Amino acid sequence: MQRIIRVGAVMMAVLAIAACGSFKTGEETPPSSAATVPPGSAQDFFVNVGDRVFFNDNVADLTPTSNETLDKQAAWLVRFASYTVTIEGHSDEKGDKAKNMALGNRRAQAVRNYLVGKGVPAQRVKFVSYGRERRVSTCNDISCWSQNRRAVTVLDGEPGATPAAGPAPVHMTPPPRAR
Amino acid sequence: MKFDRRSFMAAGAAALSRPASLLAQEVEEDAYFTGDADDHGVVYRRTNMDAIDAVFRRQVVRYPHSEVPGSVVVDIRYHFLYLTFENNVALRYGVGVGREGFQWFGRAQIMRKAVWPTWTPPPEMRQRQPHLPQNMKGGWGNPLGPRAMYLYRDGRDLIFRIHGTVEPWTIGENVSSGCIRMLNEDVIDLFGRAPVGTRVLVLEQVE
Repeated sequence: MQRIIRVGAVMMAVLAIAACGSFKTGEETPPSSAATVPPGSAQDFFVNVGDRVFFNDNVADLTPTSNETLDKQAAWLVRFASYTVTIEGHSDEKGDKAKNMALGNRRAQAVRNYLVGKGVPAQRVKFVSYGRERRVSTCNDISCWSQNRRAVTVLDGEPGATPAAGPAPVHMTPPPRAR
Repeated sequence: MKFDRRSFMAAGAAALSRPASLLAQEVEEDAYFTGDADDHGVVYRRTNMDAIDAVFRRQVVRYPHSEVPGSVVVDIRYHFLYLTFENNVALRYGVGVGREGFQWFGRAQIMRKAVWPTWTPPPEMRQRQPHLPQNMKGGWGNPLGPRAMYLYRDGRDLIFRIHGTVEPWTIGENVSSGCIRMLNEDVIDLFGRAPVGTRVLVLEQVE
């Protein structure tokens, strides 16, 4: 709980900066060098495994690239057996709500079946479809569509798909580099 | 004995502006590798992460950005590549970038991806380095490494790529002909996270 509050506070600060209008991509706040990520932590899953796979237009077929990510997810979930997960299936905005809800459902199920096939006990893997309702990116071209056609493996009890940047980062001036 | 990268840099700052092939001879290469890994039937040498400066290891950072989430942002100056997420979080990777005169900035998109790609040095590069082959099959030893993501702008191939490397000691340096090179483990990782269509922004350096 405490962690969620802390994340919330940081997010508010970030929003406040963004609201000033002077904000531009390109400054990390603050530049950090993380300590080693504890194996079996949510951050380990996010950094070293990867929480999402992507789909081609209007299909729920897993690609060779997504299989590689899912192989890593399965191995991690078998090793760290205390986690249960929820697979969230999503679509881009093309087509109507019902079609996309069904598509998200098939995508989530495809991921679930794959993980179960690789040895993750079925009762540890739930799934849900959000259809086109929770798009990460909203622009009308392939750069957003391809981001939205996804299935995200969310560790239950962890706050969201993208964890906070771990413990308070150690402030660090970027190292001087030889030019 | 652990190779001390810092003292190498202090002693050889001048060497850094030389081509990577010269640099390689001065580095204790073996210190940068540990064991082998199999990827798509190709055996490659694993990076010894202990030899890589901690700032260049893959990590989650708080990164306020105004990009479409999922976009890649490259900061040439600090040799970082960010994969942006919702909530102003990013995954940060260390990269090697273009040497002086070979740097570029602006917007692009990943429009093609390849596993153990064939390397076809562009004609300009072969003019500068006539010993380069016309073509090099994908595999260990190929400078593109295990993955390449091809950058396009307005439907045109920019000739720049994001790829792996056989020279992990060049991560954090300005060595390439404009390509963005990553540790092999990192480029395999990014490949899985960046679908075709992903936007790439190379930040303009503001001194």
